[in-house]
Amino acid sequence: MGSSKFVAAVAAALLASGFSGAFAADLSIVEKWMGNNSGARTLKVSFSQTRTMKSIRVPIRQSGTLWIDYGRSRFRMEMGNPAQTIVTRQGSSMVITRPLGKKYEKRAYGSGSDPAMASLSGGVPRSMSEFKRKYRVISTDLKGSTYHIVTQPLGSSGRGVSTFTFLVKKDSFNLSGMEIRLKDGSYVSTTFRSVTPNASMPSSLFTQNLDGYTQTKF
Amino acid sequence: MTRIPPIFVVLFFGALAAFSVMKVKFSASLYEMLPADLPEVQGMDQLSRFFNRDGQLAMTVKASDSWIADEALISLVEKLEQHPELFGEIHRELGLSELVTEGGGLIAWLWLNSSYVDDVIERLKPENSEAAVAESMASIQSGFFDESTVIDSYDPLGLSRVAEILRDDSSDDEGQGPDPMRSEDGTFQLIYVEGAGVDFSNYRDSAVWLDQVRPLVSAWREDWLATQEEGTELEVGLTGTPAFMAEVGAEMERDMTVSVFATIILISILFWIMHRRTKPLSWLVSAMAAILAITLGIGGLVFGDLSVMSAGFAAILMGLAVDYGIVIYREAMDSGLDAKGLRRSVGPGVLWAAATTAVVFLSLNLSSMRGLAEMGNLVAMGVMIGALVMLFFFAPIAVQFNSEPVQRRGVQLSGGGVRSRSAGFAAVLIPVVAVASMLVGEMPRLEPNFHPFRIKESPSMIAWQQLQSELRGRENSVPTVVTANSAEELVGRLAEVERRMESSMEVGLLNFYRMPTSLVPDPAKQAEGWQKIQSILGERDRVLSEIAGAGFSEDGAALTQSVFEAWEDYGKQLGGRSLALPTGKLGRWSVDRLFAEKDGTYAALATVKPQNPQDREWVEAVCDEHTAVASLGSLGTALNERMQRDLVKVFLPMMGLLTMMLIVVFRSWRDLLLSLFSLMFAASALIILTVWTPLSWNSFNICGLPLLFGTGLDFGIHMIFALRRSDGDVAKARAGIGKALVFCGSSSAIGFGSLAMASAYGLASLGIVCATGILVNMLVAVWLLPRWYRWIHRIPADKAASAA
Repeated sequence: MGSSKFVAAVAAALLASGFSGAFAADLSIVEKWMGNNSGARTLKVSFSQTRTMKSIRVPIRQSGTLWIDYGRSRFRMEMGNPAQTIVTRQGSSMVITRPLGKKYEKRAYGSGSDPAMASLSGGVPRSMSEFKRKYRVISTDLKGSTYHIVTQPLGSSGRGVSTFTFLVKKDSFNLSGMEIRLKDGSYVSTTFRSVTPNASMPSSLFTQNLDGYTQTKF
Repeated sequence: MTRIPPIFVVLFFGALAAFSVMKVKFSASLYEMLPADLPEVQGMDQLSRFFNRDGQLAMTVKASDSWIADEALISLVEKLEQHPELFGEIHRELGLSELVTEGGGLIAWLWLNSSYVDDVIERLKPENSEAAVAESMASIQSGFFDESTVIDSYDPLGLSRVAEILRDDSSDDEGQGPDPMRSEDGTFQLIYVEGAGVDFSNYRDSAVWLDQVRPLVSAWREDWLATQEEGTELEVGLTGTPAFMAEVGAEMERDMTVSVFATIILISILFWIMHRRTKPLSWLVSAMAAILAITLGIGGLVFGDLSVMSAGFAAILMGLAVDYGIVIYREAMDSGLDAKGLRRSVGPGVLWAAATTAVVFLSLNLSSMRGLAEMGNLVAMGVMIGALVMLFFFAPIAVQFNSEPVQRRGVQLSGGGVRSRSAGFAAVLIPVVAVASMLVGEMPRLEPNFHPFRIKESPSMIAWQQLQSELRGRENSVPTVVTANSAEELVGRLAEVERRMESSMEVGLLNFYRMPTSLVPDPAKQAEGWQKIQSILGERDRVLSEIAGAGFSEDGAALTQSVFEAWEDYGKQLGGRSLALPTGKLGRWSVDRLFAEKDGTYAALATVKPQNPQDREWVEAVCDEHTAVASLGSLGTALNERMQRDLVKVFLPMMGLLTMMLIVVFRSWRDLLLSLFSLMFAASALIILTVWTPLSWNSFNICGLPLLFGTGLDFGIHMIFALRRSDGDVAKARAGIGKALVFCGSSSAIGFGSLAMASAYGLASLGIVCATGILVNMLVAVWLLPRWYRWIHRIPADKAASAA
């Protein structure tokens, strides 16, 4: 083999390896992250969220808390401090209340408009099979001390969503946040301020007293 | 004349026939050959007339996950947009930003056309609008972040909720209704593409266009898959009117060409086996080509576009017309007459035979199947033309070959083969086995769910079926077309139809129905709505400034602005006519799917899901003279019912008439009995075949029964007269008429049999049944009937010995 042919072959090999490196997602990162989640029965997450929407002039910043009880398929989410919106889910039904206006809405969980945009409420996947069922991994990149697992939600939950990125800490493989890019160009970034696994959660946390509230459709 | 090399003669007339076949225009509208008075056929006709767009092709993608389907479709649309010479508008599922730019026209129109216009006026009043905008902003800031939050951010006044209100108001209990562009899991998606550059009402042009589109899409698929991970799978389907038209048209042309070629080749082989002569064969083939060319030319002028069933007429005609040539050829060999003498000798017989055959085929006009009637007319016309061509074109040539005797050339039939005892045994056995088969197996019946016009292995039909099964709510749904002479009348009729559908639901005939009411222009509602909307048009600037003041961007206010603009536009439309139609691509596309106006007729498209699609009770409950269903499920049942009625109407009188004729012809009860028994025997053989083989009866091939009855009688008459002339000498009768019957029966069976390869199920099944029946008739007439003749006429054994 002449030297020019040898150089060409090496270049081709390097190019090929570069290509596969750029496109193939490193699922081992997801596996390690899932390994961390599998033991959690409950999760309490304090977060802050920035909504940068094309239709709104200035980005909106909010903080909130999320309680997830995996075993009983229920959650509670509070947005704002004091809470401006409270969402609770018990099995297949969901209640959204706005304490300020004393209004509430009942929805079936999983009906139509609950999707990837609201996937925080669905809880983070806890196994690789659950993850693969819900997301297609597009890429995994290390930025600083955080892995960015860029995914596309599968099925109807992916509608309107361009990418859904999980931010996982390099050292602990714990989830530190999420980023959602919508197809209209809007962007929502959620940063987890604290994550407490297996916190005790009384049943009353997942029910809301609707006395004095008016039913509506938000 | 005989010095011309035979190959040139065949090539010249073959080219003439090929040119005629190429000039034939087929109608790709399959329902045109079915009974026009059936609501199912009317439904298909109206669906095609009002709602099918000749140039609209549906392109489908099926992937292993929704993301791949999404990405593939985006890439496909980009590729198609690079070819404006082939594609016009491309309709695809709109994203949020496109909904904002495209949705205003539709939203404004839905309010204008609804009974809820007061709601939007109330919402836009100064005392309410500011609070509504503020509430939207609060919801966006602190609400649960989901799809509705994003929509609210583009629609601060909730104007798009009109769709929700109308949906709640409708009878639709399947929630928001099926997504017309995407399966529930997103793995199957489609786009609608408007073709450009050709006349899509012509299937040949559609085929040319599709021949450009297919490789383009196929190349795109290959290129796109090359950019994906290894193992990625993607199926792409093309369906819709241009694909159906191109496929059906091409298949019909192929059917006609293949069946004609196959028939001519097989008949030529048969001629060679029986006569071992090439020159007369080349002229015979040329005469057949000339008959085809003339018939197609006149047929095109008389009937216009031919239906899929008529594609089979040419092969049948070839099989029948060649018989006249054979009669003339044999007579020329036997008699040594000149052309004039030959015409005087066999002319009356040939013309009478052609006339009776024509009458049998013309009797198909009594059938409700328009396609079959057209085919019957073409064959009838063709056999008359065939008789004339053979007498005046082939006869002068045939006499030039009478210099050498042909009696001993080729296959000769003797008096042997079937012995008297065997024939007697068969006469008892076959009818007994037929009765036993019906008792043990099953009684002869028409296949349920048979769709004679379906094309075998149609890629566009496969893609269509996949589309129906993938999109939620599309399976078993039946399009229902309601028509009226004005938009006002149409609104009234829709209300009546809805009442009937509701009653049908209550008694369990329907599982579901969906009315198009909210997307059908209602002049009364629009007039009232416009009166009210005018009062708020001046509020536009105030409302937009409230939206901006609450923190929404220009994008956030765009939808509201476009709604106001659209209302102004509808006001202008209503100034000139009684109804306004939506502006914008989305609005037009949404309404055009369910409402159409053509030549002064207004049509709306509803959907029903019957409990039992094959039953006709629900059809009768839903349809009236202005309402028709394009139901393939009940069509099979309807056709079977109609054919059974036709059989009684056509076949029984024909049998009676022919029996009377037989009495006159034979003037012998023995020969009458023999002739009728031969028919009954052949029918028994067919029953055995249909019970124990895949051969079966359906609403199309059942129409072949009169033809089989006619040929059976014909063969029987010829053989009985030959036996009379020869005093029951079986050998003599077989050597003469027997050989002719074998050739005629075989050539006719070849003509019909070549249709077995036809792409339309109906035509193929008609060909198979008729070919089988004719062969059975031939075998009975040539090998069994002579023995029965001797038995019934008690002809002594010494004569029998001489016959053997």
